[in-house]
Amino acid sequence: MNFLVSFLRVPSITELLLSISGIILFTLFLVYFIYKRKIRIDINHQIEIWNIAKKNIPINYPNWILIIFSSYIEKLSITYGLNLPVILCLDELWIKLTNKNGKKKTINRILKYSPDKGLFTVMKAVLKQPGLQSILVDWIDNSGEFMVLRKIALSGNGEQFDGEKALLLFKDRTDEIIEMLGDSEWKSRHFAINILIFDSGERSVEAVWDSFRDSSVFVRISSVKLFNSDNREKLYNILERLLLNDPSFKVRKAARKRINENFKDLYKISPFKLNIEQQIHLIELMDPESKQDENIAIEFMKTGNKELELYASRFLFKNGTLRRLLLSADPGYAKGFEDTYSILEIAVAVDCTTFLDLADPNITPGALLLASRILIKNGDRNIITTLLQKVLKISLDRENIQPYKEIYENSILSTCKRGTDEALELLNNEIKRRKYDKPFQDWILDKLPQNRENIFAATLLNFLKNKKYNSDIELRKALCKLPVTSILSDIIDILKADNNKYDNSIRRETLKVLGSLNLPHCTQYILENLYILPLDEAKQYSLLLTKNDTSAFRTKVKNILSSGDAASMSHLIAALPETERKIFLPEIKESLQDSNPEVRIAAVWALSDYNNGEYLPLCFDLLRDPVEKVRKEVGNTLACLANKKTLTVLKDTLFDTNESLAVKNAVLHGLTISISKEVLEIILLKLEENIELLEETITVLSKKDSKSDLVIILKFMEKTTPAVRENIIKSIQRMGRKAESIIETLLFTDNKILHKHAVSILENSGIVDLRIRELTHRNPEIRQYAAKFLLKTGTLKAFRGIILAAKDPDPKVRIQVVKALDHMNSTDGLAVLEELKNDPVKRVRNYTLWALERYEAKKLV
Amino acid sequence: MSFYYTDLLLEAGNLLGEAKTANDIFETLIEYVNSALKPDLSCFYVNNTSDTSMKLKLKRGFTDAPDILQKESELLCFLLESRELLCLNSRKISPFEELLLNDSMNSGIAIAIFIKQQEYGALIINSKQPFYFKRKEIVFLESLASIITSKELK
Repeated sequence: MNFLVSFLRVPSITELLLSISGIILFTLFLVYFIYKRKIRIDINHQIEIWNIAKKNIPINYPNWILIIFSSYIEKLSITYGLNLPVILCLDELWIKLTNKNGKKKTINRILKYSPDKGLFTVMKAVLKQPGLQSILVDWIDNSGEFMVLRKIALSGNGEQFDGEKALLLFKDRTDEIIEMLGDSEWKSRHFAINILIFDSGERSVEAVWDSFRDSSVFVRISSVKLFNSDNREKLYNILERLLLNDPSFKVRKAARKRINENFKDLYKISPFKLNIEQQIHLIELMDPESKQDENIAIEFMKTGNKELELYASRFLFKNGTLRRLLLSADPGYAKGFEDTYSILEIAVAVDCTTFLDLADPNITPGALLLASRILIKNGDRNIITTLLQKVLKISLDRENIQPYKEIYENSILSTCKRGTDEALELLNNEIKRRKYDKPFQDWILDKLPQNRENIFAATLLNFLKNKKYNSDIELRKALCKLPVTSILSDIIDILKADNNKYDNSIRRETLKVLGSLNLPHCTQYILENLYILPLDEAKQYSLLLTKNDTSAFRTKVKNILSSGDAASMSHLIAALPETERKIFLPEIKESLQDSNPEVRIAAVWALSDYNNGEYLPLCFDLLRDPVEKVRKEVGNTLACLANKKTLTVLKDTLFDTNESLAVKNAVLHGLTISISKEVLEIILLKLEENIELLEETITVLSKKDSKSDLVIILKFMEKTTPAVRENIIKSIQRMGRKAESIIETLLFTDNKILHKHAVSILENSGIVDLRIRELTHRNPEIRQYAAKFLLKTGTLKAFRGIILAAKDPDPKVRIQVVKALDHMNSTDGLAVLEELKNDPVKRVRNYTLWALERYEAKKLV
Repeated sequence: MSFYYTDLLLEAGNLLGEAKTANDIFETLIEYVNSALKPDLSCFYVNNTSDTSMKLKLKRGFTDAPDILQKESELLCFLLESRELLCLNSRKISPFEELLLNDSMNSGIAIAIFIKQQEYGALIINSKQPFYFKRKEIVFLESLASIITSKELK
């Protein structure tokens, strides 16, 4: 009972704690045994696998459990006669632990079970804890290994270790270490060098000097990093050699670092005397903080060697120079700006483009100008979008003002050539914004990319439908560059739409676009709509029509020619290509008698130049057509052909006393258009005839205002009567300013006849008065020209005018005055010459003396 | 101009028309000038394009004349720039006194010779007699130079 009661009472704290401890201990004990059993089972299982595969497989337990059961596994290892720590990869855990915090027990386990893997780690651990060194030394002594240090070296991965302490540890084995330098394994040599570097023995020092030529990068790096010598210059020279010539970047980098740390006083590399490879090695390891290195890199950029440019660009990008140059570019300082541009252009050409980031909100117009130039050819396409966005903003309403004009145009060119769809959309909006700016439209339409119809087709078609849009020819070319499928449907819709929907001018342009597309399957549309065009424009489509399916085309033509629709017939006849005219010759000849004048005109056009004018006589009859328009067109056509036969007919008609004035007028009208010299002679003869159509002939002659025509006209003036000359002058006066300018140039020729008549024309035109007035112009060049002109004119009126300029501030003008006075040779001019004798300018005085001498000589008889 | 000069001019014009080379022209020129004006000294100085001087190429008369004239002299500068005929009818202080090629000469006349806008040289004529060159001589020489200027070389 008491026993039961004792269980029911509340337990004391001590009892409670004891109970809990007991439970925990029991549990731990239980867990230990369970794990022990489980580990044993797992080990057995892994041994079975190992027996088959002979492959070490890590046992899958947390590290702390494996550490706790390490001793148990060792026991099992003895029991089974197998190296279980290695089979279960437990040795790797031990090596890891030793690396962290070397413990005697673990070191012993490594040395016992896995020396091949863990020796190096053990060595590093004992170097840190001299108290444990005896373990390793004893092991080495008892190992019986022939090259035990080599074994240590190979058990590592070539890591650095404290060679100085290792030298102390292995001081009795220096010979063995030196011998290791002949090992083919780099780890062995690396191990040896790391120790020998600290040995002052002659053989060791010699061996280290040689190690700079070792085939292993790691050996060379160790030597570069650690070796010290009293012979600093020799060591520096080796480091310089390695820096410039070693094929390994790591070695070069180590050499550069060592030089910077210990040999700055000896640094003497002249970058521009090195070969290309050495220069490249040098650039790679330049100091980004050094201004001197920056300047060297910039100079390397100008060498023209792409490889050097690449390395120099990368350096200048990394140290921020390229970016700084871009942001600080100032177009106001032209030379500096162009230098910066050339450097950045070189960088971009070797694909170093990241510096072209334009996202900075404070980016300057200078930077934008540079970027805009560069991005036309190279650089990240996405930057073009940013560029265009910024440029459209800053150059708004300043597109034609420098430097915005150049930035604006370059950015658009970049967009057209290399822009993303986003940039092209921006450009599309800009094109729409400036749709009525003809120079801009003419410029941009030519530059649009051909394969971006998804962006531009709608805009261009809208322009086509816009009556006010005025860059028609460029628009037509731009539309023709787009894929046909993107525009054809809209074009046909415009042509088929009601007349009141689109203006005739829009329909005409649309038809021209359709014609320019050269689509044989659109022949019907073109033929049926040819009437929209003026007759002469319809002729331009003859080439296109020859490309069509001939038989289908002929059927269509036949139908239209027999339709009786005058507009369609006339335009079709006019547009028929020469090869087809032969087929439709009967119809065309018949059309000469058609009741509609337009058809008759078209027939004349078709026949006039067909087969060397074989059917011209048929056309001559139409010179007497009752309708004036037909007569004029026939006259035009015949005169345009201007062959001997037609000109003879035209001339005969023009001078035929029995011919009606209306017909002669038609011929004269035709002669206006022809550019043949024979035609000009016919007109002059008609003027000389001076019987009829005088006013008309003067008008026709006034159209012949080219220089060669004017020379012929002036020469003709020499051999004709004063009355005819007067009419010619009238005609020239009607030619206007252009002819006067040409005649002015004839004043300065050596041809006396041309000069004489040029003077008579110019005197009548009022040019002489104008030039006299120009003698007071503010611009000295205008005054000089006026004086020269007046002198060349040589008339009394001109000379009177020029003498007024005797006090002109420009000596060149005063010289012309002296010359004019000489030409005049009058006593009135003497007083002026006497004054000019004292002119402050020697040249003027010389001319004056020349004139006075001549005046005196001319007085002598 | 007298008929005498007019005839000579026509004849010279015909002969110059037949001249094939620049040398032919210069020889015809100096011969005609010499026979028409009857001066004491006639010289033709030819332009040396690779040099800054003109060299004496043809001479008629027994008096000495300089072998070379510098193009930067006042005389040649003026002749080449103005393309005008220069006359000096007495010995006096003048920027153009070089025109009198010899101390014994007292009047002179000179003109630069151009053929199709290209300068070929300068013709210089001197006389011992002062005031030797008068209107007709000036007009004759100017006309001759004008014919040569418009001449096409074959």
